[in-house]
Amino acid sequence: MIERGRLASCFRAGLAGWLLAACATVAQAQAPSADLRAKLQNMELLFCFQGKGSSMSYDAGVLKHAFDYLPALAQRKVVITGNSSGSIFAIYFSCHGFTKASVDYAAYRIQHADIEAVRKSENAMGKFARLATNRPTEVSPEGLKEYIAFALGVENWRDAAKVEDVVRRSRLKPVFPVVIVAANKEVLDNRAEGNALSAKNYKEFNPDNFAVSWKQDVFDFYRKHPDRFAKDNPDLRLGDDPYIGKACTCFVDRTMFELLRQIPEEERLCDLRLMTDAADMALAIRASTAEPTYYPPAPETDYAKLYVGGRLGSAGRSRRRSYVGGFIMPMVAHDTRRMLPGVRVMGTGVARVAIIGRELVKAWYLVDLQNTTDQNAWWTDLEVVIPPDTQTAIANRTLNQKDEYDAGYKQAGEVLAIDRGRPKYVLEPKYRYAADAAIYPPNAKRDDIQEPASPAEHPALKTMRGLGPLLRRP
Amino acid sequence: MRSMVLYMVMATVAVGARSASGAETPAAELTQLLRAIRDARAECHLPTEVELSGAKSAALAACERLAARLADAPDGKIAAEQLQLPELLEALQNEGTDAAVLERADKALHRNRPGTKGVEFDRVRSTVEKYLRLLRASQTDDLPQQTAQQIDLLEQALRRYAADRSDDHVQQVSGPFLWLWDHGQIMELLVKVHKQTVHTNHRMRFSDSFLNRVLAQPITEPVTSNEMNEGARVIVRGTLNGKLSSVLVPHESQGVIHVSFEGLGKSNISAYKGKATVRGRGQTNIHASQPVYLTTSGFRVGTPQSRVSHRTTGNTVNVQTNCRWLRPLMNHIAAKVVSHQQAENDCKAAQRTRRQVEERLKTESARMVKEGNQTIDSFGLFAALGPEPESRLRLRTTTEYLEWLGRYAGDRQFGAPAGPPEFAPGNHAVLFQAHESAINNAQQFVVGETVNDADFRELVYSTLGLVPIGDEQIAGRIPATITFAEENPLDVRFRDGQVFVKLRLVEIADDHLVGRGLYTVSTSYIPRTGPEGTKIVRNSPIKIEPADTPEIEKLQEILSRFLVPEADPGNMESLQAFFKPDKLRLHQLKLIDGWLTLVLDLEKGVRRD
Repeated sequence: MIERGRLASCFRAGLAGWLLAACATVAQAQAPSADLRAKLQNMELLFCFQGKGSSMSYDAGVLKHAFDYLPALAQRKVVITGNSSGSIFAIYFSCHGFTKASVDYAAYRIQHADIEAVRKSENAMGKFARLATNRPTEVSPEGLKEYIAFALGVENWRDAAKVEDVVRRSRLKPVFPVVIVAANKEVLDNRAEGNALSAKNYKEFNPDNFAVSWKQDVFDFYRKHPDRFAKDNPDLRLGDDPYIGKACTCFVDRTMFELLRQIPEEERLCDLRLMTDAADMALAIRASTAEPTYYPPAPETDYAKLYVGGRLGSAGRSRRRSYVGGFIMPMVAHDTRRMLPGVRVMGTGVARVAIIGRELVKAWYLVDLQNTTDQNAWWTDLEVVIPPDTQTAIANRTLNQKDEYDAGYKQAGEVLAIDRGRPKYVLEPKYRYAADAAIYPPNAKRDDIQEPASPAEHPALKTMRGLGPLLRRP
Repeated sequence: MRSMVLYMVMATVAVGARSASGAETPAAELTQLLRAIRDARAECHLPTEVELSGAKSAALAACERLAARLADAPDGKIAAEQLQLPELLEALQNEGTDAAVLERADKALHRNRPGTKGVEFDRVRSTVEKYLRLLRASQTDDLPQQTAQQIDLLEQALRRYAADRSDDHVQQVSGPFLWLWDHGQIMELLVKVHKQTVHTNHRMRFSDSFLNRVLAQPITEPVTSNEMNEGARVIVRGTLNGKLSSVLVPHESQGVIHVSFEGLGKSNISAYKGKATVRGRGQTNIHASQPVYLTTSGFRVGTPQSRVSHRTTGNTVNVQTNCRWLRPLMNHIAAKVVSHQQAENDCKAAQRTRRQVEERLKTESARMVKEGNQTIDSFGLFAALGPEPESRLRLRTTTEYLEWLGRYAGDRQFGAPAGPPEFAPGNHAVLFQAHESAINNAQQFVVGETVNDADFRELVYSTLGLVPIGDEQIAGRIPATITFAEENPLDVRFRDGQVFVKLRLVEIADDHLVGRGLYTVSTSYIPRTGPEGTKIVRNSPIKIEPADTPEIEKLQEILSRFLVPEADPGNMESLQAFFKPDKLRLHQLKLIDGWLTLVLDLEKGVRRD
């Protein structure tokens, strides 16, 4: 039976909206369609562009080398994912695919992009002083204009006054399967009045499914004091239980939308946001790069494309939605690998965030990002692990774009040559087995599943295997 | 300036310590104090019923006020439970008070730092503590005899301490001191004893050259102006090149740094008035300086001073006129006038530039001071030292270094038995000295905390610029965790060139094994200095007590991820992330008589620019 609130919202959205929402709910329980199966069963690789702030040239170097080693890229047997600045590459290749020309062009553009504004804002000392004085550290998202233009294939971007103008000049749509992650600000918001590290800590984060809930005592208090709730949390609704919402949203193309919504809500790590045009892709980039202290939160622009709590066109228990960067999941693989157990997962490498930075993010957005990083890193088969010296140089932004490109190229060569590169620390996720509706590759050797310790356990998917059969020695 | 504050913050955080100061106690004052203690021997304060009920009422009222405030906060119930407030209220409301409940509540209250939950919380802490002291005294059967005995012990211990200021003798003072304190006896004298026996347990020195490296930076700025001056439009285009540098000024009770700027501006000047055009090249020399003072109240700056000289050369004059016969004559006359006025114009230009430089200096320094002070406020740098930071902290400068001397000890804690050992200054970037008490007094920060090996390694080894052996081989590892005990979770000793570490843990776990119980884990480390710098090596096995702990070898293996066998010098990654211009490397590590001394040098060839 449809509850009253939902019925009302359906009427507001019109009959088409009702049908869409109803279909979406029904589709969740169904198995993947034959069409979807046909599209995805031959996927071999999940390639994740892991954000590195302004040091994107490193990823360009990694990709340049990987392209020679991994035929799956050119053969379109790849799901592209990304977080933070990695989202720019993810969108670009989702639109253009991986060809020698597209890879070379991406490397050229990123090495020659103007990164001064971001670099300046990345100066830790300046950030620290601004944070200490409660001044904003974020720079204007208009600084992303060149990157968004690159991702959306807009050549004549220089005379565009705003990002929106760039977007209007693009006719591109996501073509190849893509997933980009961004954290949900209103759900995670934890800041309290006071200094930069002041936190409320009224909420709890469940690392198993990235659900965020009120602490029971806080929930009880707010139930008794609804006016206080409305005053304290103008962007949220108080539900019948302490649940608030998912910690993050995955921006996905139509194919990945159909795939990922097969995962039951209580197991999936994120809400879904459908991308169908250039504006959606630009929002995905803004959302994922809006990291704490980098850019201001990116507000949602089209709630009809938001899939929350099994319903399309819903923001769940949020009155409004904005995004605060992809910090929460530097390896975007959990849900995709559970649905496509046959793929191998490769990441371009991620640097460890110093404890003081983690404390800041935790105070603002509840989550210890190292824990979520380690938990998502569990899915890695091969990571182009950043050597300590390069990691330090990247953290300090002491390399120029060419140096970063060379460092990425060299390191990818070394890692791919031995097919060995694992993240330093990992944490086991709870749902580390294939989802019920998973799409397996046809006639494939089942080397992707571990023997369970007991018959009652789900057989966990194997990870950290290297790329094995996907590699072609050039 | 900001770097300096940040280095101080980071280094303070590194040892988990808050700092303070204390000068060497003169022997005469100790002798006087001993006399006073002897005279106080006959004094014993037996609390009256009125006193007890007054203290109880005050504690109850404070608890009720805090409970009322928490009832209005969304997380008030959680906070109240953490503080054991319901039990405390119940105990205070009962006719007869259960001292055990009060003791437990007192411990819970002290796990939270003062100020963390507002003034109501601080009031609860102090009133409960006072009531508990009176209660203990009233429930001690032979209070006069025991008090006299403890005063005797205190006097003897203090006498030994006066003769030989060693850690052992401070320990002997602490026993009777705590008994008397906890029973509310000779409180005023105890405050004096504390003042005389607690000394600096943390020292940092930032060398002049290091500070200059942090502060010094080249400045290049375009010089452009387009303005009307005495009816003429004057357009200036040029560049100012200069360098910011710093010099330390000796001061006994504050840090004084003279920040100066030397710059040379080169510009092209065009002046248009009517039909006349004058072009010239300007050269401006600027010398500006300003003292910056660092005290426990924060930063402030002195009056800026500047010296500016300006000279214009190569003037060319052109007067537009239709008559080509008159043009050379008019140009000649105009050139004469310009030449005649040049000295005056240069003087005016210099004065104008000087005003601008001083204005700019004032604005910039006011902004920096505001930022520095807000950094101090926001991160609680001095607030963490209590309401009177100056009583625990001393800042001073010599021509060679800026020094930060701290005494980190609460009312019931002791610091170093005497000041930090002297160290040959040399030309080292940073000298860091911490007495073992600075670390051990910070136990409250780890009580009941769980930490994994990745974070532990970052906090302990990376902060010291060390990389645990085999660190680069770690791949796909699920971090192990340890959980600290509620009582005495940490004990660190720096003796005989070694670090002796004792941890009390209630859980040791990795992905295969979880050990729960009360474990006392101990080991020791020794530093070894070689051409690559100083590394530390574990020189005794990790000992776990009780010795009959099941699977003890596996637990030792897990613990060796925390208490690593060896850590070699590397870059200071975590600090570097913040202070990228300066790569610090551990040059020397010494462990003598309770003191850890770290000497950090700038890596060769590293320059700020």
